[in-house]
Amino acid sequence: MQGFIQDTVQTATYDRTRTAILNVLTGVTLLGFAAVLYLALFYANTDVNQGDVQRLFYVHVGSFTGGATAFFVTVIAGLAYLITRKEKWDRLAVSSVEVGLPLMTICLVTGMAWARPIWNTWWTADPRLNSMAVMWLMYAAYLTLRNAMENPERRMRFAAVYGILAFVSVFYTFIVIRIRTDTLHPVVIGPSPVESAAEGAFEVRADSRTGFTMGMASVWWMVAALTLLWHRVRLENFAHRVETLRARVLGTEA
Amino acid sequence: MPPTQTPPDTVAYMILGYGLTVSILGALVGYLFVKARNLRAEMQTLRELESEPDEKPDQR
Repeated sequence: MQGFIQDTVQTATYDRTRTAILNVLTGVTLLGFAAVLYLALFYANTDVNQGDVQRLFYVHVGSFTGGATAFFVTVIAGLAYLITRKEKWDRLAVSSVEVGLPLMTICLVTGMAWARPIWNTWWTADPRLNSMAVMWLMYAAYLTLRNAMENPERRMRFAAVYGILAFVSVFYTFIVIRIRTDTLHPVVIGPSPVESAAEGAFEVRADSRTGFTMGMASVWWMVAALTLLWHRVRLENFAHRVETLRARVLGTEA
Repeated sequence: MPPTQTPPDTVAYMILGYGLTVSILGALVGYLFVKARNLRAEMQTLRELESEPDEKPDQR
C-alpha cells in the first residue's frame, strides 16, 4: 500500500514538473511568435527585386523546418513502436503527423502566395512543387488510412511502417532543388546547382538582417512544432485514459 | 549617383500569406482546445456514471 502511495505521489510530482515545463515552453513559444513576426515584418530589409512578398520566405522555410521536425518524430516513434510494441509510441506518431501536416500546409500556401507575383502563377508543374504535393498527400493518406483500420494491432504496425517510409518524400522534397536544374524553385539556404533555372532567388546572406531573421524564424518554427506536439500527445494520452474508463464503465454496466 | 531601384508593390500577397498562416495555426490550436474540452466533459460524465451505485435490475 505504501509503495502504491509513493508511486502515485511520484507520478503526480512528475506530471506537475512536466506541466510546468510545458507551460514555460508555451509561454516562450508565444513570445517568440511576436518576436519573429516583428523581425520578419519590420526588422528584415525589403527585397529590392521582390518587394514585401519576399518576407513570406521566413514563414515558408520555417514552416517546412517545423513540419519536417514533426515528421522526423514520426519516424522515431514508428521505429520505437516496432521495437517495443508499446502503444505510447503509436500515440506519439499520430500526434506528430497531426502537427506536421498543418505546418506543411502553411508551407504550401505561403509558397503559392509568393509564387503568384514572382512566377506569375499560383502553381506550376515543377519538380519541387510536385514533390511537395505528393508529400502532403502521403501524410494526409496516413491519417485517412489509419482511421480506416479497425484492428488496433494492425493499425499501429501499418502506421509505424508507413510513417517511416513516408519520410523519404520529406527528404526528397528537401534535396530536389539542390540536385535538379530544371526547377523554378530557388535554393534559399546553401548553393544552387550550376545552371539552375530557378526564378525569384535572393541571397539570404546578402545582409545580416535577412540571415538573422531566417535563422530565428526557423528555430521558432521548430520550437513551435515541438510545443504543439507535446500538447497534442498529452491530449492523445488523455483520450486513451477516457477510452479505458469508458470500457470499464460500459463493462460494469453490461 | 546611380538611380535607386524601387521595390515592386507586392504587399497584398504578403498579407494573404501571413493571413493564411495565422488562420491555419489558429485552426490547429482551436482544434486542440475543442478536443480537450470534449474529452474533459466525457471524462466527467464517465466518472459520474462510475460513481453511481449499481441499480438492481427488476427481478419479477
